[in-house]
Amino acid sequence: MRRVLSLIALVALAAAFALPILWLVTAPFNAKPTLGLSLPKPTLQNLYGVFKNPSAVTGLKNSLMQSTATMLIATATATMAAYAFSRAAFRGRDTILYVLILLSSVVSGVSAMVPLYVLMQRLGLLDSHAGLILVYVGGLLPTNMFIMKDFVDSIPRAYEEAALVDGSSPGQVLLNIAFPLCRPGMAVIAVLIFVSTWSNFLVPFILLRSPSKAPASVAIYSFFNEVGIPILGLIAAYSLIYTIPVVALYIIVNRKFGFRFYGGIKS
Amino acid sequence: MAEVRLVSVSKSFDKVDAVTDVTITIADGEFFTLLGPSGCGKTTTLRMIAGLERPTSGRIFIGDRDVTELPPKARNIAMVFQNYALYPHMTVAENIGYPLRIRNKSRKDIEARTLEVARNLAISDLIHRRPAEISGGQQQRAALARAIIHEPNVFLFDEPLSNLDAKLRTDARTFLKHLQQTLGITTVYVTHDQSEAMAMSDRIAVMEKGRVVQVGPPLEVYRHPTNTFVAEFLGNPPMNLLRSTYAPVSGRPAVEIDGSCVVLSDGQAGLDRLSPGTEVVLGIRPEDIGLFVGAEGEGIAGEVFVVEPLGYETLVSVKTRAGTVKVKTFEDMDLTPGLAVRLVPNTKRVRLFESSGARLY
Amino acid sequence: MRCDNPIISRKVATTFMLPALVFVGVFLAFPAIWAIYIGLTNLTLTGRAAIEPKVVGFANFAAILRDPFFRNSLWITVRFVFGSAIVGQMVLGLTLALLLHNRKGVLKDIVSGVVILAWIIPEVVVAYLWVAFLDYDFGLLNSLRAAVGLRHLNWFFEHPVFSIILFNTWRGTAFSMLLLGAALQTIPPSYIETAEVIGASPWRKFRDIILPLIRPHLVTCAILVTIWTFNVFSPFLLTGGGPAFKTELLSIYTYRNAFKYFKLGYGSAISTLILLINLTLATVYMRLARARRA
Repeated sequence: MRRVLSLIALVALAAAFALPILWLVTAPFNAKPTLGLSLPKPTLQNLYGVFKNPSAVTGLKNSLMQSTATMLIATATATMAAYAFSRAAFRGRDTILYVLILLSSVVSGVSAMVPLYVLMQRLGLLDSHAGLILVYVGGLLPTNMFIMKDFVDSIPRAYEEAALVDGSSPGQVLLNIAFPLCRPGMAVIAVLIFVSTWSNFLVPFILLRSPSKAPASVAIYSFFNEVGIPILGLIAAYSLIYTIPVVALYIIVNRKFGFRFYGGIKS
Repeated sequence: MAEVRLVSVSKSFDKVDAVTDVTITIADGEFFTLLGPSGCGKTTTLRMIAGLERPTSGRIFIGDRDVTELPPKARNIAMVFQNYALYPHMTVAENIGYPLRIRNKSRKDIEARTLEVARNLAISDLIHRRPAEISGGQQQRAALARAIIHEPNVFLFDEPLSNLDAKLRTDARTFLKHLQQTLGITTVYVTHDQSEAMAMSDRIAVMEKGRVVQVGPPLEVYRHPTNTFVAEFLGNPPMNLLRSTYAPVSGRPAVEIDGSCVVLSDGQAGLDRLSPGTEVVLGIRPEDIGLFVGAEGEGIAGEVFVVEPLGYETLVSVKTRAGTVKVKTFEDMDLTPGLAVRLVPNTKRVRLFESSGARLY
Repeated sequence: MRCDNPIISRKVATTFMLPALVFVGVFLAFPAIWAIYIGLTNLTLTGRAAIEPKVVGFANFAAILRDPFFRNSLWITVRFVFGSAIVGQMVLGLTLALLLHNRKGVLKDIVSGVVILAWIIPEVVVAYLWVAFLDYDFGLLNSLRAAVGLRHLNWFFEHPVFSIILFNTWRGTAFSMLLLGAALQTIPPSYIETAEVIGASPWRKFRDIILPLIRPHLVTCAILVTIWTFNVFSPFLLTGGGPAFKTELLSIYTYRNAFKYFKLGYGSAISTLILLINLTLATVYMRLARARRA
């Protein structure tokens, strides 16, 4: 009896959570989509439409470019810093780590949108890819550095020590031993960084002005605001195409490493 | 090949002394063991020889060279870690060949030498696998192969057998000792397992709280422990330590335990300064005690508490008024708990300690 | 502990940390501190004050506290955080975690998969999905209501705050579910089995065994979801803060003043207040985390 009740509860909850998502898997394939849920005769026309729409394609290209650049810079710098924090001991280390954790949760897009805007304005980086990427890197570094530090902490120092005793120079230890050992952790943070950049709306919405530089998130928003309901099919299809990489990357990370949540601060 | 010399070496971490004033000389080709409980400083000592820690004070020499300030790579040593530290991203062959690779040997030389070493250690059919894909015993041999491939001057071992299960450990012990004898490379071996130390070493250094308390060949340390700590640390079960009173009998040294008198063999220096009535500790190994059935007669009276037959010998715990005494007997005796027995120590093997723990003789 | 580290020398370690610390310092720490200064000026986006801002002291802060829109927005934010984070996400998350605990197989994968999906879909898309879901004429929720004989509701007009609470509960429950699910995993099964053997009811098992053991995780979870919900911007994409400012969270209020009314100094002052609230919450969190570790 209790078993049946919990089963019913679970099915009901799953249904409730699934309901709002259903539109995303029906509307893109509907020739005449509404905001309701119906799928009279499936079509791929909307998906083709996305790739024929120049500003939609530009949005995806910008997203890819901004996310990839952020991923490369942030993964590299986060890994280097995490390795140093994990392997070297120096005075003030704990204080720096404490401040970094604090910063990662205190300074959010919402709380820093005004000063970030003013800073970019002063640096002449407003409405530029570079400015956006720099802000992303700064914002994503603390959290991802912590994930990486946890990862490095879990690697026994004996590997590097064995390499030293075997006759390696410190440089060889880093290149031949430490870097290969860090790679799985780097893959995880690279995915997390890519996904959070790809999904972000607020930061490019504030820092970019020209539609030619806008990522897909901002492009979708302006589609809806400027043109309205008539191109609902395009919006739906675009949303789906924009969402798929995020879900795919999460599934890959989950498969390979199990779902570990790295929200803001680690407990 | 080289001699290893530590001169007044000390190491402290954040004001905590890990190693204090260690001076030892390890002869060329010797199998030398640092033995002690966890936290006694043995691993830190080894890591200082390796160059993974820098001594707070003192000097370390390998051969004629003062290596105290040199990085590990300049010492031409090899080390086997407790968890083997086989690089998980390399195959066994790449692991074994790594020390040659960073010495810029040609690929052909590395391959040939890797195969030769792997064959010597009977792991040549595994060398294309990853460390995670082979057993613990095989990993241990792979780690050994990586250690011997570049013909180091000194071998360092940090508890290399403790990750193996009991059966494998004995085999690996024999193999390791044989390997060391064949290669004749100076070896410093760290372990907390006294039987391992006894079985393998030319000499043992027993460490306690960062200091070396005794150095010597295994049997000498076993028979003549320098204090009660060493007496209890070596041997399984450890040496029996019985509180007693010094009470010479007509000029011959003797102690009294719970009313019975144990006369010691003559000619032991160090007893002269003892005055009758001094509290002392009598040490006697379980195999050096005679066990006799019956309450009447010579010896320390007691009763059988637990009998544990171990095959070749039988371990008998006897309750006496001076405490529980473990006795090893090699005869088949019909012993049941509660039986009244008498214990007669072999006076030639008896040791005497001050109540502070230091050896009297 | 070891200062004479042979693996990575102090020089190399410094070089390795420098790029990350510079990025964080310039693009994260500095803006946060600078916000305080800008908040003390009359900086605007256009006009004279854009070029020559003057320090106006605490005038902005005084104006904020006098502004009825600020009070309106603060009250909405408090209800939004309490309703969606504490009540919605945590209660639902804990329920899901309990229902899924010790369960394996397809059902568990489907349920947690759907909940996590709601959490990871990019926020712009999620906003659309909810605009469609809550639509008056065609929305799925109203269709379902009609199917059981209820009238169509104009969600955003009739229940504006409830609508965004519902949305954000759906959006963020996954985190609480995962964190509290992990917390349940830390309870040794023998504890619960012992309770079962002596005949405890499910409610008593929950109240006497499970709840006390996961209390620290509940506190952690509560603070984290509070901080994040406090800093959420997605309702802007759903309602733009309307109708008639009825869903204007502090985040949207900041945006409106800084970027619609071009009052950067004033907006920065609001940012400073948000930063202070975040700092308070995060400090409490760190205290608790540290105390637990000790």
